[in-house]
Amino acid sequence: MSEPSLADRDGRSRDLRLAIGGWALFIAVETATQVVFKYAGATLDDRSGVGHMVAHALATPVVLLGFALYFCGFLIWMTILKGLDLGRAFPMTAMIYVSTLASAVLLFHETLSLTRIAGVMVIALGVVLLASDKGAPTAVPEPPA
Amino acid sequence: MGLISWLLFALTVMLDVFGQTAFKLGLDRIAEGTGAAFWRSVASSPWVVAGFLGYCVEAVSWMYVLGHAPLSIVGPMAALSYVGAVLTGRLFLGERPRARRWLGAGLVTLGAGLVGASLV
Repeated sequence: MSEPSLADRDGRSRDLRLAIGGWALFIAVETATQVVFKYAGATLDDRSGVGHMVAHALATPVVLLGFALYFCGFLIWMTILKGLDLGRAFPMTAMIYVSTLASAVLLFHETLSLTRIAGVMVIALGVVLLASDKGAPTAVPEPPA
Repeated sequence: MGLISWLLFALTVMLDVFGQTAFKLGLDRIAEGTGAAFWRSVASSPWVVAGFLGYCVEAVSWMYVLGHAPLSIVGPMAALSYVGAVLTGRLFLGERPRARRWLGAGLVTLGAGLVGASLV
């Protein structure tokens, strides 16, 4: 787009902006997916058999929108995972659960008991611990495929 | 929350852990590449394809669970797949989690238990 020297100089901050933007996009897409999935899932009925349920699902626009969002999330995740260890990248998705809880209360009017809030806080603490174990070596040779 | 929802929740978490692990196994075996070449390699990796098929089943399963259970229950409890990823990272990816990561996995399990118990 611009001359190489400019690209070199701005390369690092551009990478950072892309990384932050990528995560923000990923969390937004994942949260939207869950909300759309919840609306879509309520239309699924297993009582008439799995085959009928899948056929019905594939003819319902909100279901298809959910799958499209899900696939977008998959593509973004592939891009993120390309540059990070699974053990590092995966726990960082914890942010999704904050926005998920907010949408549960705001959109679906669920009430949160103290036990449930405490449980989510313990989960969040656990995920932060998981995520902050950055130095775990991965240099051990891979097991034979 | 009915028995079918709980069973499909367990299936969802297991397929998620399988998919994540398979993606990482696949990507580790893909040589450096960018743009179209990278995505061609991704699409032709057996591990990535297997993980993707698992994701397809997981999507339907997860959609059913979300539609039939409170989001504030199954959403946070889905963090159990982190615990699974730590285990498969240790078992299949040659990762060596330190005490901190194991402690985190334990807390996620405990928290998921509390969230599940809040339903009763």
